[in-house]
Amino acid sequence: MTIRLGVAALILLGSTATPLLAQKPDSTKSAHEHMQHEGMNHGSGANRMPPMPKGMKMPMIPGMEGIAPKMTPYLPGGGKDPAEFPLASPRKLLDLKDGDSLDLTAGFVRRTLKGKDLVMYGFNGQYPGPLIRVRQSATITVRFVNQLDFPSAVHWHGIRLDNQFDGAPGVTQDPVPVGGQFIYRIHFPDPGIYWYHPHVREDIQQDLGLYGNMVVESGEAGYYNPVNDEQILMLDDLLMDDEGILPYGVEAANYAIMGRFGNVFLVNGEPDYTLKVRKGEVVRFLLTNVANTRTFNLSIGPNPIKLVGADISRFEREEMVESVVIAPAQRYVVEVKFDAPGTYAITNQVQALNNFLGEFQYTVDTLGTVVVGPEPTTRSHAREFAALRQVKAVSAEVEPYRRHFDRAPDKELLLTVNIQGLPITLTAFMSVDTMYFPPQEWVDGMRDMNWVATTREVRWIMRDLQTKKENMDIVWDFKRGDVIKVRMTNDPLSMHPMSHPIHFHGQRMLITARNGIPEDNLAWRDTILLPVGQTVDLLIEATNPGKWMAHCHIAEHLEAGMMMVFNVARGG
Amino acid sequence: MRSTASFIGRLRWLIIVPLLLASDRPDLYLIPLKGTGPSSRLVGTAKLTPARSPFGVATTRDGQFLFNVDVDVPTLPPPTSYGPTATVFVVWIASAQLDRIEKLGPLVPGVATKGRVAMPKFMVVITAEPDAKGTKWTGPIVMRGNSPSSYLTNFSGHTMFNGGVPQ
Repeated sequence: MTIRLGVAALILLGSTATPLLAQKPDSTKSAHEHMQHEGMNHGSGANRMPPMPKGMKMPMIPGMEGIAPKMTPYLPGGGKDPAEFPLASPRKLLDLKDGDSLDLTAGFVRRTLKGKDLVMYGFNGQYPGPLIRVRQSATITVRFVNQLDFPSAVHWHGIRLDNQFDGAPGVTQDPVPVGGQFIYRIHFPDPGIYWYHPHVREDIQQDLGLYGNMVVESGEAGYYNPVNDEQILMLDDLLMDDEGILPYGVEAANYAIMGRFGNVFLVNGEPDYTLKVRKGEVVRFLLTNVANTRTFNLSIGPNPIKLVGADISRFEREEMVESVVIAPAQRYVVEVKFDAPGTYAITNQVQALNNFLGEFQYTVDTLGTVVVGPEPTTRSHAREFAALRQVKAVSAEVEPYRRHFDRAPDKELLLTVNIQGLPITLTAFMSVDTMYFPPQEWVDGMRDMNWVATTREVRWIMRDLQTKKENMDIVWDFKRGDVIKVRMTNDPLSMHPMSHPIHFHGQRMLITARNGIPEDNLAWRDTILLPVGQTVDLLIEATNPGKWMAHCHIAEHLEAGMMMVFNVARGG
Repeated sequence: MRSTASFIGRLRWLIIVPLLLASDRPDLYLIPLKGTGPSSRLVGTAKLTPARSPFGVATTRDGQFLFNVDVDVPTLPPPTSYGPTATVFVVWIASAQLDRIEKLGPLVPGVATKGRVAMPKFMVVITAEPDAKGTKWTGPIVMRGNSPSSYLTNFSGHTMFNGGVPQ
């Protein structure tokens, strides 16, 4: 009897190693499977459980003992001494003119963070990658060379460029093999702040430092308000413990439920970003969130923040905000006025959800510092800062689209998740933990579950409610000139709802309503944040022909399948 | 013997998980209000909608979510039925620890009382008051409801962490 029950128990134990129910094959893998680990140096680093978020304590969930994510751990460098790799340097500004060329090489670099020598990635040996500055309407050529240990490609996020240069392997190009190269021709039609990053295993490549900004300057005088200084900041976080960077997964991405939250905060790749200004100065910050999954709630002490622009354009009207909520891949342009001398921390202040205690914990992460000196500014822009501009050019550009705002949606998407095959005690815990989800989760408050969940067990889903197709089975067909209204709902009843930053490649879009309430201050965007339980209406202006991706920009959700395709035909 | 215990331990999860998944979840943005004591048959709602934000998530600087709240009770007896000095019903928002109490405003049956809330966990409380000027309630509690976030559980005391089966 004991033996028979023992066999049964072994079978049940076995259920922790294989899915309880067969998962539908993920068609998205056809686009991404060739992106994985060609020549990748495996097995470097043990599969360590990450530390808890700051200020949180949580016992191990019953039944978790001995359980680890089902993937081979990966760290760059293959266990070599970091000293064998070239020391990375801070990014350099590249002013490029129309017709200029640039060589961009992705390779290994050495960094020192938290006192640890680390092997990471860098574009041209820099962190972040070179800052590219061009004039609006310029076209440049970039020769990308892949010197990583697995395939890559470069996506020019937010740029409405020719489809063949979008850098989305499986959709617009083949991945660039190890040692290979690809020539990108990039035309910049819109002023603003943009960024470039790999579109292959973003959970690894982007997280290890492959990202850079592009600033496109407008030809319009006074496009932005006059300021004393302009700072271009890339916000990031990196997950480390006492041994160094926590490993990634070779065959499957880990941290697949909530994404990989870091615990070392980086601004432009530095853990100790500092800016010095004079009393009374106004600084324009061009912000880009390049974290895998973290949405920041950013502020700089009590200093007033003026919101000026989003991804692809300015807002119709400037407005004062308490803080800036910026999701992965989003950009915002803000101005901050520093009136009083002092030292101000650049903070991410959140109410972190401790899933074990069922409590919200006020948490402050410091990303950098602004030191305001006692000497007054020599040129005050206080008057311009106080005035909240109405940007008529944006309203005029939006105006022809207003007739579409109230019509029925052309397409409807539901964002949800399917989780199968996790250890059954974890599933049980998640089940009782699903009574409430906040609109936005700011930290990884369920460390055990998130760590052990890989893209083998977790499938994040974009579901077309009209065709019932999901993820890469969805192929929408439009023609150039179409204006498409898309209604997206973030399913609050899924196993673990999360907010999603959804990015549409190659086009620009407007958020026209949230939960049926019209948006009253519009800006053109390429990435929108959809909190849990919300419904958002988008208007996509299909002007750029080609086959394009749309996906969640949480890197692990993308790896877990949350992507689809749409065609824009050239038309007559 | 140990295998048997392991088997039984795992078997109970096979039973628990489907039951938990099948159970109803509270609405994330609707608070049912219930009458207290002699008013136990009263019903109402407090509807939460995310406050307007250019970012899609409305928060304060310290990360509190900002919700608009509409409190609606279709019918109520006269305030005087709760005491001779009561003349008005007042809606309050109270933190779960009762260390913060904010007045939302007077309530007229059938007319939504509108306001804003920025607390992680909170209660909606309706009291019968002599007037609507006070900063804290003094009269009897007529109705109350808990924010959906109140359903978050402290698992340290949960049955599943103590070797039992949830009922």
